[in-house]
Amino acid sequence: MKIRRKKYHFNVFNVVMLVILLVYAFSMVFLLCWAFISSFKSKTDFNIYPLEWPKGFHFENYTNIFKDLNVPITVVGVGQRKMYLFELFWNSIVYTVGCTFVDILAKAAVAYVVARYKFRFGKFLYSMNLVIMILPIIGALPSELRMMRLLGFYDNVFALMLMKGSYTGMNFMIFHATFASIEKDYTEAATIDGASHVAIMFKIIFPMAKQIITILALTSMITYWNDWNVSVTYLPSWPTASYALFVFQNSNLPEIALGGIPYIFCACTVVMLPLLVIFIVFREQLMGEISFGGVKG
Amino acid sequence: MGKRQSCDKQGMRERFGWALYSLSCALHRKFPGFKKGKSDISSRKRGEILFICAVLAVPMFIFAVFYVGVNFNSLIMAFQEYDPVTKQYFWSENPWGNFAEFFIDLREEEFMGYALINSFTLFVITMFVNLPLHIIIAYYIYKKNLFYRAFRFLLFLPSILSSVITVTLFKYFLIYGLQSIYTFFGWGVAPQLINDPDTGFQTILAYSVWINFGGGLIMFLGLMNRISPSVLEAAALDGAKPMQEFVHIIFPLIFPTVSIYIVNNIATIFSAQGALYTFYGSTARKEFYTFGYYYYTSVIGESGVARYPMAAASGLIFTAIVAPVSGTGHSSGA
Repeated sequence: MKIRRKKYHFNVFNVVMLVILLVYAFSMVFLLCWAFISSFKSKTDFNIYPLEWPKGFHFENYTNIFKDLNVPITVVGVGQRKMYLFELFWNSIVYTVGCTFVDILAKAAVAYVVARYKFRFGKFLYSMNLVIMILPIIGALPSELRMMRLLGFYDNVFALMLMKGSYTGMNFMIFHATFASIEKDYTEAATIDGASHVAIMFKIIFPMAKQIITILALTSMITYWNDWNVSVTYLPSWPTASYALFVFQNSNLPEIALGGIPYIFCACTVVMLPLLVIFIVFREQLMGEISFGGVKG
Repeated sequence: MGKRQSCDKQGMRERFGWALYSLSCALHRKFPGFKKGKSDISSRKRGEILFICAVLAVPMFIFAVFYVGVNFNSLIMAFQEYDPVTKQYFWSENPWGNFAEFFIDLREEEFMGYALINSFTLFVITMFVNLPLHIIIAYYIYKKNLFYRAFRFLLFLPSILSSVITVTLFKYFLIYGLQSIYTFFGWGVAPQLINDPDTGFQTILAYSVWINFGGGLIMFLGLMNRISPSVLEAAALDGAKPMQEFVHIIFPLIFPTVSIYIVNNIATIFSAQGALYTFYGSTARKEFYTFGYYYYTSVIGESGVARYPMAAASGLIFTAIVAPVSGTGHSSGA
């Protein structure tokens, strides 16, 4: 059987782009591999030969970081204490799962109601989201922080999860477009069969939009897992694993001095590992095309 | 006799029954859904209203407090001051004091000059380097050119990695790796690109371009894939070359989204930080400041409480500059 190979056109544009992309690809792969291989080095080995192959592989670096690396935090009424990697991971898991669940559920539920029920307030909600997306309001952070302090939401992870329950944003628009495109016949048939509104939403319509819900949930999960700013801005006593990386690379903690840069690379590898697994498993869905924006004509 | 009477009674009952039935039919015709039917519809409607209210309750509360309330409070705070003794905000005697402070800082403080220049430089790089790169890279992948699958994978990779990881790798390579390369070639001591006031911000810009290489890939690729193949086939039959196809067909067709992308970037001129906080924490040199970085570091933490009114006033000034441009741009783009 003959395998038909695609013919590539080697015009100037393609050659220039190929060179640019090859340079980019090399830099990306090189940096990731360099960090991963360096994570097995000893501190001295790395300091003397940062770009060379390790003189010996120190696999114990990966166990040591769980014992040694920590983030000092101040807890009201308790004082200073150290949080180690396992605890930081647990914080990341709670924050990521909670925020993703509330975020996706709120946006999907409101989009479902606005797209599939006729009521005037629904149109208002849709228009309001458009206005918010179009007109930026800059500098609301101080006011938000003050409001959070007033309501007791500041430095409270569960309150922050609740705050993710707002409906506005691009995900609302994507959910709205998805739910509006599903035929009304399914809802009518279920209503005749006596299904409740809740059952129609959760058992009929949401499963039909399973793919888009999965993609947006995965994207949100990745965002929340990587969100290290949250500990700086809203949750000073709830450091996440990503925040720990920020602290490690920006401070002179004695524990970092102990293992040096290879310890930080170990921590980077461990923190990015769950995301790499998700990316490899769901790469087609994640890199698939979500329809938003318009093509003229 | 008795039998006749009972027959009359039965006849009367039948007639009465028929009369009642006719009356009931007439009533139903006059008032459709008057009795049982109406209560069925209203109970279904009631259920629908209850369901909608239940779904909207929490998101509406969050929206009311943390969007409407926050922005309204921001407006109020712009005219207030903070008393560190009572730890309370109070109405300022000079209501425009916070706004005036912004303009005084802009004129007199050296770091505000840097913030102004750097914020606009960041915007220019995003507009004239990142955006064209996103579009032509998406076109390269769209045309399924050599290694397009591998490039798509690698271009998407940074979007799943935390910025703190990519900054860490970039930073330590420049500190340790670059020195190693200099030593290997016998060039002496490598420049301290990140900490040198002359090269620090340029290094941050280079990092931004590198890490955002595939930034708009999914969006632009999605748009290009939605262009009807018949349009491109017709152009190919007319002898259009790939570059002509891109300039005369692809780009004009995706332009509405590109214009929205541009307008969205205009909106971030005053809030974009350019990974400064990730690189330096709150200790960046003043030469590297952007507005976004300055106001963010001003308000975070316990010590930032006193700076809230000043930051709120500056935010309002920035919004007043950006909102008309953004609003007009979106309405013309749409």
